[in-house]
Formats: sequence, structure tokens, C-alpha cells
Amino acid sequence: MWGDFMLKIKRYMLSKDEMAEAMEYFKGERMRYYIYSYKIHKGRKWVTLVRLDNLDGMEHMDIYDENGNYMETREFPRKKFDDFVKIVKTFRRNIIAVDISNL
Amino acid sequence: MKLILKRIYREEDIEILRKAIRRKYGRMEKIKKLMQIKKCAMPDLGEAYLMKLAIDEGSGIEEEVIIEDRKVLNHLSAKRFELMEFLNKNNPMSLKELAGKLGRDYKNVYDDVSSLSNYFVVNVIKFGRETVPVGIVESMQIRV
Repeated sequence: MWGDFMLKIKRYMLSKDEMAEAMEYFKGERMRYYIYSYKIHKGRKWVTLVRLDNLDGMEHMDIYDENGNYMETREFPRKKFDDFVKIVKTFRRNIIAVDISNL
Repeated sequence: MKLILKRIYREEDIEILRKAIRRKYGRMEKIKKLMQIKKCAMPDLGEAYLMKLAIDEGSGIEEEVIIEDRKVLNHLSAKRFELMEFLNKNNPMSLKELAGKLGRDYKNVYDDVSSLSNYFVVNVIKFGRETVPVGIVESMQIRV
């Protein structure tokens, strides 16, 4: 019905106010793009604190403050979403203060 | 405890997503241009780009929600399951239409949908002033 392409969204809700979210875009078996985010619910919207993605062709991690303002970009090796969830579950909201790139 | 929910998006749902992205960010060219300018400063933009790419390329969209917080069970009720079953069997519609078709008070329907959407048990798209639940729940499991 949909051809070769598939967008898979996975939301891992740690609580009502915290989630790890994956958006993975597949062509056939191959994942072309991904975005893995750790988000907190603040006010009426979800604010991204950490994001891993390869949208510009490079694996990297973006870090934002609790108001969603961009802080910095770091190199980050490719991780599976399940591994990202483990990291998020360990550090929760402290994740922006920890260098997780070597984990 | 884990509640695991699988949702799929029909063509009617995808059309709502397309319109919502278009309304918020404009056409794909504009999204690409914004991404070049803003780089990583707008995380929502990357998500809109991926969603729009998927829609434009005619891809399917499926979603899995895993909820580890057992408080989610406080948000489930017979009335709310009835609402979810209705959403599964009908095309996407605004909460006002939904309340009308269910013959229920708008405020109660709004409260039910808000409560369920806190955990993405129902996924809603804000569309101007309207809120539209999208996608149909294919399965829901509780694992202990």
C-alpha cells in the first residue's frame, strides 16, 4: 500500500512530562534518516533537551536548555534508540550537564 | 508495568498532518531553506522536515508508544475506550464534531482527549484553533 518508504515513530514515555522519541525514516530495510530526542513537557509544549540526528548527513548531538534554546552541538557516535533510552533513563533531566558522547 | 500501544495513520490522517505542517511551516522548499538558516536551533523543524518528506514520498507512518508510568492507568476508563473506538471507526474530526457525534458535552470530550493525549494514548494535532485526534490505535497491551 505504501511502497518502500516508512516513517516509524517511537515514543518512550518515562512519565507524563518526560519522553524519549525516535523518528526513523526507512527506505526498504535501510534507515535513511533518524532523529532521537529527549523531551520534557513544559507549559503546554514539549521542549527538546537533547537530540541526536543525521539529517545533514553527519551523526551529531544537539543540546538545548530547559527553555528549548540551542546551546551546542557535539560529535556523537551512532547509537541504537534502545541505547539512547537507557542513557536517558539513567540521567533524566541532568542529561544536559553530562558528557554522554563516550557512553 | 508497561503499556504498549501501536498506532497507524490512514490517508485521511496523513492529509491532516500535511495541512498542519503546511500551515505552520509552509512548503517543503521553505522548510529546507529554514533548516539551512536555522541549522539545529529549531528542533521542531527537523521533525517537520522528516514528516513532510515521508508524506511527500508517499510513505506509511506508524507509531509505537511505550508508557512506563503506571499513573497512565488512572487516565483510562470505559467512556474513554468508547471514545477511542469511535475515533478508530471514523475519519479524523475536530473535538466539536466529535462531541456532537458522540452526543456528549464538549467539555467532557475535551477533558477526555486532553487526558489521553498527555501520554499519547490519543495523538492530537493542533490545527489553528482546532484540535484534531489523528491515527487509529491498532493494539494496546499491558505488560506486568
